[in-house]
Amino acid sequence: MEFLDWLGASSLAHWVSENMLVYYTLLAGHAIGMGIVVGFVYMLSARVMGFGIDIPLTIFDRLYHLTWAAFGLNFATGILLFSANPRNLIVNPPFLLKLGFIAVGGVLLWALSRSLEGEPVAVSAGGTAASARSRTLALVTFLVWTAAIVSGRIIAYTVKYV
Amino acid sequence: MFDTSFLKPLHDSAISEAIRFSPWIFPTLETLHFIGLCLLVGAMMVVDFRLLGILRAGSVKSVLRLTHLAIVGFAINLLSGIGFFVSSPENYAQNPLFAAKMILVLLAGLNVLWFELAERQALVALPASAALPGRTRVVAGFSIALWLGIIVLGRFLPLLGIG
Repeated sequence: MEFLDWLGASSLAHWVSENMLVYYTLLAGHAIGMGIVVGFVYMLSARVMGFGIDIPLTIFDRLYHLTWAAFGLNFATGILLFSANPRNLIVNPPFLLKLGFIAVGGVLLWALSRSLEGEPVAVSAGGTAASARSRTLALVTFLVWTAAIVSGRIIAYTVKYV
Repeated sequence: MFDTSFLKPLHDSAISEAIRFSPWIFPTLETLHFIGLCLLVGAMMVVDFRLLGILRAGSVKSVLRLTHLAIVGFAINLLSGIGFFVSSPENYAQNPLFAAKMILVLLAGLNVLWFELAERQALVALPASAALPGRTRVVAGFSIALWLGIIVLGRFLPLLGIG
C-alpha cells in the first residue's frame, strides 16, 4: 500500500489526473489498443468456430505481432491511467476481475494458437473445420475477452474518485 | 451554439428519461458499444490490411466475408449510439466533437459505398496472388484512418460537454 501512496502522489500521477488532454489521450489509446487486441481475438475465434472458413489461418500470423504491440500499448496506458487513482482501483472488484479476465484470456489465446499449430495443414489452409478442442478454446477465449470488456466498463460506475 | 430547442420533446420523452434515470441501461449500452467497436475494428483490420497488401494469405473474396462481422459491429454501435443520443439529445447536438465524429462516420459510410459499387466486383474475380490496384489501397487506407479517428473523437466527447 505504501507503493500505491507513492504512485498516487508521484508527479506522473499528477500529470495524468490534472491534465484532461493527457487523460483523454490515454483513454483513446486504450480504446484503440482494445479494438486491436479484442478485435483480433474476435476474428480469430470466429474463423476457428467456422465463420469465413475459406480464410487461411496463416493470415493471423502477421497480425499476432500487431496484437502484441497493441497489448503493450494498453499495458502502458493502463498503468498510467491506474496511477491517477491507485488506492481506489486496487480495491475495486470489477477492476480486479478485469485484470483476471485479461490474464486468463491471454493464457487461453496462447493455448488456442498452440492447439491450432497441432491441426492438420488442411485446417490452416482453409475450407476444413478445426478440431472440437480448437473450436471450444475459441469460444471460451471469445467469452473471456468479452467479460474483460464488460468488467472494464463497470469500473467507471463503481470506483471511487479521491 | 445553434438552437437545439427542437430536440426538447425528445429529451422529455419516456424513452429518453428511461435511459437517463436507469442505473444500468446507459452502462449496458456503453458495453455493447465497446463490443461492437471490437467487432468492427477487428474485421476492418483484417480486410483493410489484406487490401493494402500487408496481409497476403487468402483470396480477397474469402477475406471479404469478414465484412459481415463489421456490419454486425456497426449495427450494434448504431443502435447503442442512438440510445446515447436519445438519453441527452441537446448535449450531443451541441458538442462539436460529436458533430466531427458523425462526419467521419458519414465519410466512412461513403468509403464503404464506393468500395461496394466500384471495387468489390473486380476484386473478387482476381486470383489470390494478384497485386491489388492502387485505388483499392487508397480506400483501405481511408478506412483505417477514419475508424481510428472515430474512436479517438468518441473517447474525447466528454471533454466538450456531456456525451
